[in-house]
Amino acid sequence: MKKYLELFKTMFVLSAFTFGGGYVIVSLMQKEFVEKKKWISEEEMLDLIAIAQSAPGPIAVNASIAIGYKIAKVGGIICCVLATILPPFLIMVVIWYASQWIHLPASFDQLMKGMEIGVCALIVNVVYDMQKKFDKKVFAYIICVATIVLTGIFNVSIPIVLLLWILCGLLVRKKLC
Amino acid sequence: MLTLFWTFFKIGIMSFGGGYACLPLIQSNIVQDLHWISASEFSNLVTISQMTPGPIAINAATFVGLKVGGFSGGVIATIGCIFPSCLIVTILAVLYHKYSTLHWLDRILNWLRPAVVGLIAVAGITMILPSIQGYEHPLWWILLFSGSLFCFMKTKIGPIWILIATGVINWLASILFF
Repeated sequence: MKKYLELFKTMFVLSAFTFGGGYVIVSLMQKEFVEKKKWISEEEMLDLIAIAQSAPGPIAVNASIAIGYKIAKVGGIICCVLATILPPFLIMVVIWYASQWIHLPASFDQLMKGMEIGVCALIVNVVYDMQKKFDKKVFAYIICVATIVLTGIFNVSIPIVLLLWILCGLLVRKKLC
Repeated sequence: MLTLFWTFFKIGIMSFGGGYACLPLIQSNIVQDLHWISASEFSNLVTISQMTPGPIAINAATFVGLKVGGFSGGVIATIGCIFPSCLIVTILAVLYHKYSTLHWLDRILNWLRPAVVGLIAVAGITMILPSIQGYEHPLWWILLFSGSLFCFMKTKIGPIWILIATGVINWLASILFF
């Protein structure tokens, strides 16, 4: 029971303060569950993100399902999904009912901009930590850079790139790393 | 209500790639075909989604659900939107735990792990570039960026506190200096 509460609390806070895309919350989850709480190994975390990424739907929700199952099976899934969707849901409901009479001050914009800078730094930090796990294997860096070039420069859609690597993994039998 | 659930179920199951992938689906399904929200409401929705925490798909489902069917509509649309994810990811997670010792799965994952790092790097770059370009004081941006990067790497402060701190510092600086 204590574990469920802890899981719920952690996910709820992560979800409530995560502005921006799905990778921001994934980076925060990595910090919390791998580095601070040590409930998941770095390698497993990458696998879980790959699962979250290759399924349809919001990455944040998918990642919380995969992580919830890993930590506490079906109970963990229920905990994590509720904790992930409740904050945006409740905030949206409040905005909806309050939109008639609340006007945010213009300086509020600067708060968001500042947090955006923090998020940039967070992602750089997470990428740096994750590439350490490559163990200086050239193979891993080649796939990583190829993924950046394909999705970032040539705009190939992400599921197609992942499918390509899955096929490579199935077909290339030689141990490359 | 059933249409509401079904529409967001479809959006949930078709939005591969997360985040912005669902926006064109919402545009064509809900704005153009069903006329549940207008084009200007749609652009408001995108702005609100960016300013509030949580996945855009969830923000959008709640927003449209509230508009169409009040509070219960919001609940139904949100559940419809995440329902496909819950099914598919649960199945994948169970398979992963059962078969993570298999060699073929291990080979695939060897290819996928570095790819995931690459994807996160791209997400980072696509956030950093507009952020620094849209900022009036690039030097201050770099200072704040380096400061928070240092905190993430060298201190044990919780990441959320670092984010809130950069927000507050920037807000105070904008009032005091700029």
